[in-house]
Amino acid sequence: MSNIPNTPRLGLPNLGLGVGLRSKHYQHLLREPLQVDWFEIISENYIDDYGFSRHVLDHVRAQVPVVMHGVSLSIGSTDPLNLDYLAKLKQLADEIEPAWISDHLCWTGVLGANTHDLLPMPLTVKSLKHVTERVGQVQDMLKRPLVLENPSTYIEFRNNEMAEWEFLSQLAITTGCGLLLDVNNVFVSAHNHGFDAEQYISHLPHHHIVQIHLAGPTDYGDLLVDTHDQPVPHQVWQLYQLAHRLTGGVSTLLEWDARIPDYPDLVAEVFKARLVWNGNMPATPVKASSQPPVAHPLNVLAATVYE
Amino acid sequence: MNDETQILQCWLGEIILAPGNLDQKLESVRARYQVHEQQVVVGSRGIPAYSRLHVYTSGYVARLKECLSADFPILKKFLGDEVFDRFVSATLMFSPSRSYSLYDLGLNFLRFLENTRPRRTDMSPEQQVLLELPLAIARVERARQEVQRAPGTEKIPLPLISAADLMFQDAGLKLVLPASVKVFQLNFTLKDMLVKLQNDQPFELPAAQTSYMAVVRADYRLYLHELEAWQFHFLTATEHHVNFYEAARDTAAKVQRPSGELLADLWIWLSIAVAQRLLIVQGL
Repeated sequence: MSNIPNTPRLGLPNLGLGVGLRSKHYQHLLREPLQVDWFEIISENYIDDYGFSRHVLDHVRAQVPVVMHGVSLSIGSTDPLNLDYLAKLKQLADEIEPAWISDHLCWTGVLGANTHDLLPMPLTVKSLKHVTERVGQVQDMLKRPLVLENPSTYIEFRNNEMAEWEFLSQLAITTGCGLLLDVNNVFVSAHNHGFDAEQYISHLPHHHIVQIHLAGPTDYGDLLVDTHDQPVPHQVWQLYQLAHRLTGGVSTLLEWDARIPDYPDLVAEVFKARLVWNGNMPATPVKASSQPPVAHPLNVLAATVYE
Repeated sequence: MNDETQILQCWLGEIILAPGNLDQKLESVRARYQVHEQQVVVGSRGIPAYSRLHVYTSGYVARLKECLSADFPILKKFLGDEVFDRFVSATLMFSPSRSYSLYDLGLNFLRFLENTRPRRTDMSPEQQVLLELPLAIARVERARQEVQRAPGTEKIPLPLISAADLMFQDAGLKLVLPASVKVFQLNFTLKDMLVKLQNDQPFELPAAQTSYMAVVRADYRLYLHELEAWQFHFLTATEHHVNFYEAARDTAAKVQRPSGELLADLWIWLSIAVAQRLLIVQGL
């Protein structure tokens, strides 16, 4: 069993409202006040990068806390843990001293190949044991609790033996890891698989939730897809309100990775969380698209111009 | 190891990574695993496994194409979207990513272009140029990525020293090629075409001619500098010689010029090269 005290957020701070650090906003952030309480970085975008991205990260980190959010830990893969990646992750953490390090309950590849996607876990007793062992190893290497996010999923396996909230709850309680509750991902997966989103959030061990993600999905007809390219819709704000009440308030971050708005508009969107705390719910609908769905867009660096 | 989980992961991984459209992928995987996707994936809400798997398979290709398009924007303009996408698809098919980092995917792409370039000898010089150009552009664009991420010179103050200081006064000074500089020998003059492609301007194919170029980062901005042969060889020599005169002697031999004449050129150029961040001075 966990030796982590039964305190809110595992004793980690409530950082307030934050946004993702994205290359589109670098020039703005160097010139203007940051406005938000904290930033989240995609860890892989800064590992082994000592150029302009790192310069901006150092500028931001000197002013506010930063959280490292990864997409490559592949905690659920049956391949061995990538020790090279973990060493790089730890090196970056030693350099920028993040408030915490997070990744996803997923796997990204197997037999050495990498799909660069966040693929769903079989939710079985055996796979839970497998992930539990690996979370322990990662926490030992990073020397801090790992924080794991619920992913958006588009398939469920027939051999699943438990709900995702049950898997995450047992994982958190057994390993002492933290949870990054992505309320948009709950909304997306609940729609796609037909489960009750509020029940999912209500059942999680709330004192393990150290962070919440907000984002806007896209409605592709049958399926909702986690596109991170829209304002946060009404339904996601409702789930956020529930999670805010159940957790007593935790660090909240808006993800926006494609069709990224200008920085002031991005900040205005995450600040809507304050309205939600006071019971005022934004009425934004889910954006529909007739294009083919694409899972998990990645934030790529903007092309550079030669002088 | 968890056999059941591993089999499921291999099954889904193969569907995503296998070549072809989703129908072809599923046919191949059904034959190999002797299982239909509907026996593996829940079709809740009346949405079949096929539609659900399609989100992952289409996303894989689209996402990595987007990534390589961002890494090689000038090559994409040169080849056109259709040909570029074919090279990307072929790279993903024959050399799928095995790294946690998407940065390494660009190197996979470059290696694929290198390994598959035509090696015919029965072509005119003009045809040779046309076939070699994509690879040359890709090399420069990959160098741009590397230079962009390398430990740079931004935190090193520009030294207030003259060429005389560098050449005669202090034997303890070393000239070093920073990691934020990449130098090239090319079979044609490329800079003009790269800049015009980048700016969507009309361009002419360069004539076959040996040329030299540096991709440099200075104050977090990227520059392309055309170099003389002796400048290229001197910068290359600083990678291997810490002693200035050894590097100069090595360069003079490579370009077959008298050492004194080369030193006269270096006298004029060294301060410029240091100011352009092509070289850093250690030991100050």
